Amino acid sequence: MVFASFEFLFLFLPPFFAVYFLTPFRYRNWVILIFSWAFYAWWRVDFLALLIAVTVFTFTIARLMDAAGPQSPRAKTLMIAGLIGNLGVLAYFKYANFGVATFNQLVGAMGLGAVGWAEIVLPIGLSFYVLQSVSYLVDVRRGEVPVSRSFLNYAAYKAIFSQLIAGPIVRYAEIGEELKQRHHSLRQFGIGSRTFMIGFAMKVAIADTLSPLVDAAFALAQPTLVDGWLAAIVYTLQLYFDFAGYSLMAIGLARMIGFSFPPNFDNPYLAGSIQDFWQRWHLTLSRFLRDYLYIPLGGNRAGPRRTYVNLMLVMTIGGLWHGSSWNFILWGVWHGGLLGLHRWWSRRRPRGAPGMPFASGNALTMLAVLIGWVLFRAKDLDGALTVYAGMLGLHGTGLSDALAWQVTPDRLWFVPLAAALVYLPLLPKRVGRWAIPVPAGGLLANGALGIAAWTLAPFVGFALATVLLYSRDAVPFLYFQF
Amino acid sequence: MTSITQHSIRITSPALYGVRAWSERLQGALAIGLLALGAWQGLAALTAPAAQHRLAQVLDGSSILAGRTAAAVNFVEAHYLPADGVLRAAGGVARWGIFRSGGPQVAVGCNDWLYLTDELRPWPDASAHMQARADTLSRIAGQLAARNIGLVVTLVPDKARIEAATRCGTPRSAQADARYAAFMDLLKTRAIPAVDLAAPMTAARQDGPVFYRTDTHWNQRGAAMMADVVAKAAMTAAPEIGDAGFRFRTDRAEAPTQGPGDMLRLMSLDQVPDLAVKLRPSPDLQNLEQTVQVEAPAETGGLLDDAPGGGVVLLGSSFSLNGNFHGRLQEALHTPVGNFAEAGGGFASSARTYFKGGAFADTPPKLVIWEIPERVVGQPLDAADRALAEGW
Repeated sequence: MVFASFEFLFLFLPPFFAVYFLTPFRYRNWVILIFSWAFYAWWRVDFLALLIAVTVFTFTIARLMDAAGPQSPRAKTLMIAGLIGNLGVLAYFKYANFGVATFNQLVGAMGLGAVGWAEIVLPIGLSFYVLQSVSYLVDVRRGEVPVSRSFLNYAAYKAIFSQLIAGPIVRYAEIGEELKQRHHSLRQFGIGSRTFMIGFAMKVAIADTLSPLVDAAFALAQPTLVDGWLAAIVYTLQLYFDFAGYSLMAIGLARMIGFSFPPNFDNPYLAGSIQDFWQRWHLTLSRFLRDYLYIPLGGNRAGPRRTYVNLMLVMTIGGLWHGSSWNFILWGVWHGGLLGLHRWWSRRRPRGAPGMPFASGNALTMLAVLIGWVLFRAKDLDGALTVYAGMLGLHGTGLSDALAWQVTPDRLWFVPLAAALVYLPLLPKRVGRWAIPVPAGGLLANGALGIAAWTLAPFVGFALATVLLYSRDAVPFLYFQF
Repeated sequence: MTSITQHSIRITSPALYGVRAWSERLQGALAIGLLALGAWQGLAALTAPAAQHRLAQVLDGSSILAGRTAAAVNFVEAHYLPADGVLRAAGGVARWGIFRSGGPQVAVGCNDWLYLTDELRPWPDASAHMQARADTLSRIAGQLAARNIGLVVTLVPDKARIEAATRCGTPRSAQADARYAAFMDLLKTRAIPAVDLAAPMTAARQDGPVFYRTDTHWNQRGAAMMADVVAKAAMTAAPEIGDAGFRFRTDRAEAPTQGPGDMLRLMSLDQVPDLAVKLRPSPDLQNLEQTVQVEAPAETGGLLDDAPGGGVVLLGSSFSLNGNFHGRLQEALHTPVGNFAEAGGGFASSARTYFKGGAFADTPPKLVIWEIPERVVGQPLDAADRALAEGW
């Protein structure tokens, strides 16, 4: 089941909230668990068994670690077994196809016969809930989180439907207390629903409107200069509004039932450098990579050379986490290289020397990010090279016929609208020489009309998105594939 | 910084904080109301008779495991909500009202002229598809000739070609621009008799529209003029159909009524009212024409002689069902024409149905007029196209 569907909005959410709020608090985690498992099983009943198995396995390992003493050698062995179990599941479902295909290509090149293999379907959300397991086991081992003694609480944590299939990657430590006691109020519900509706509008009204244009542009056999840049720019916007919108929906839904999930985005396209970008994009993944990979590898404490190697390694693994293809690996390498370059450049700058102006830094960063997104979106390496060839003007310059008919007015309007929304947060700041006065408190401080607009704007966006959703086919969330 | 993704506005004033708290409570209350409304819509959709029929077929273990039940519920919720009409219309109004967009299937020109995007876009492998269709026509023409049955192909040009002046910048692909001539050339090289309607329609357009504004088809004026052109070509191809002595008369309704407006339907705007505030392109208005037979020849000959008329059959698409083309064709030919055209029939559907049917086997015609819309000839072959290509 996806958030942007009517069975979710009309058949799942109302009974969930009704049952949840009519149930005494001590049973509410049961409500979360049962509804979340039903939510997951809606897609594939058999993969619910995998989720339950991973949950039971990780819970049991953690309890055994706790019984042995989290700092004991036995706990370390258990943790390694737990990590191998979880990552083994991920490796099998996510990377076996890629591994066998690559192996077959190699043996094919040597003139040997290919290995027979039936394609494995990736269970939705697996990449996310395996990372949760990893963080939980490591945190228990480090003593950063007390082990959960309640299977119900742990299973509910893993299963909360709002974050189950595409994050944010919530750590047990962040909501462990809320699983035992949390606050509910009409105001909380309002804040959550407001957040959900804004995310819904971002996803359905903006990202999904741009989706056909992106699909068409990336399908062109010989994109022109305009086609290539249009493909890259529109996908850059689509991906952000899709994933950030989804994250807001997840955060909002959790807030409605009293959970405070960590933010997943912080205006990433306003980054002034590539390092800044990674401190704003998919925050819960970035900090996972930092805390469970980069720092254990030595981070920047083992000398400059090792730091660059660590950066490259972490970003490559991060790329591979997104999908089992060379595109994702190269995308990770690209960002690893950019982060290394940025670090090297920053170290060369004399202490106290002025940094690059925001506009230049942001333009350069966005160019680098956009080039990376082409790898991220293209079906395969050839597809990415085709778009790059277009961006270089190797197939002509003007908008091609094959794309022109897809550039409908609504899609065309949403491109500058989406770009304007990306840069909207700059308004209260001084931009260059101009200062645009915005009162503290934003719209709320602008009298009755401002209050009404602040209150009703999410509903207007939600209503527009709902009618658009009903009058066209649903577009799946882009991050579901990961 | 005010963030659009986190919505965290730093509030320092206690008064503003209070306002915000009340606003958020109000939002919570409104959200509860929306959830209740949604629950009613969702449950009502499940109980609709059409939904019940669909769901009854997938309420078993294997369907649940295979995801068919989920897919059926998904379909039901996306199609049978009590607010279905309102939601679709609102989507159409939003797209057209805010962005002047017709959605994925309709391109908006100026002065409320609408065009099918199928007529504007290039199709992958269009050349191969056109050749395959021309080959099918060639084979069928040969088979008909072997039975002494004439064939006249009438290629109806795209509205986007003839009514180009009101496209007002809506781009049309070079492939689409070249399509009519390319397909006519393919017919010519295969010696298939074909009527060029593009030239007379372009000429007729000088004196007024020959297509509806909000519909894909020719209007009554365009249909009448093209019926004359087709009739002349038919009588040249099969002189034996001659003047069988039938007479027809076309009556016009005195009061204007709305035209067909299939593109308003594609834009989900067909049920939208026309108010002082314009919510949709103005529908076409027309004095509806109807052609009736007013005179039939006296019975001649013996019991076993051919009955007069009945020797002409019209195959094709919705063009043959719109604008009173069929009536005007009978009037121009002075003979009844069996109309086997199918709405949405594209290139092959009506031909396949007719050639496989009893009407063709029992009472073969003297002449087949096969109307084909230009916009379909470059499209990928569908099941009917492939089946007809293999034989009827």
